[in-house]
Amino acid sequence: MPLSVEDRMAILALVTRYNHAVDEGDVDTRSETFTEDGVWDSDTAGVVTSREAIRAHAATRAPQAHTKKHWTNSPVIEGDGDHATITQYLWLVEIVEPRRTLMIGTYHDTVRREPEGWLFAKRELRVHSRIDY
Amino acid sequence: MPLSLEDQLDIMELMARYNHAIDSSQPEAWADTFTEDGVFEGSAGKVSGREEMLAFVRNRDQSNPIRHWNNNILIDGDGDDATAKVYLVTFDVTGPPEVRITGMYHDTLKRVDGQWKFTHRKVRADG
Repeated sequence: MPLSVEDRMAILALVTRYNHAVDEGDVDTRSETFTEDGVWDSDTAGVVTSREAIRAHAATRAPQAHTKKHWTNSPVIEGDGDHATITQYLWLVEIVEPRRTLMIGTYHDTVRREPEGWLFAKRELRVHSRIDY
Repeated sequence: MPLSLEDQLDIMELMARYNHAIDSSQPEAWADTFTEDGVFEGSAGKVSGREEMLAFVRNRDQSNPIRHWNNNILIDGDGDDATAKVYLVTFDVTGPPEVRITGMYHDTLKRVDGQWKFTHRKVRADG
């Protein structure tokens, strides 16, 4: 069954919820955007497997959260039934002086419909360009 | 008949597919965002029809990769026809990430076999 408008909006909202949570240092909300067996695989953090491990990883990053913001753009969603992929760009920007662009990358996400709604089964972040920060 | 929510989502996603296709130098995927007789007008001139579009992407200078970003996607339409005005930012990703240009797309679109495509896409850099 093709994804409904409601499904597509829910998947876009999942991405937005993640962006707000990570930028606010909200460890619980960030980790709860993943399934219990979720995987966070990024060029900056390596591979972190399971919601609990992602929560622990998020807790180590939370103290720096308020220095930057995640902006995402150009989402392409493909899928049907209870599974989908979403590809989108990331702009990571510093929000304290000197307010630099820190990174441009692409998220390649796999999402799954769970009883509590659409969640990330896997997030992959590939970095195209970044500065040392 | 006014555009449905699904039409509006489909058109926004078409613009996202366009960005990924051109940024990853995928000629077929980029040409697929246009109708068979589609026209693209950029800073380097006009490209029309599928063969010219495929060649345009193949011959593009890939030594300075960028990422296209859109915002303020303003869509008007009815039935199988639509127009859009869209803000554009490109990021330079060759070295440290920086904004390269800002600009605006002026689009006309048509639904062909159930899929929205650009019939005409014109981009103008700001300033």
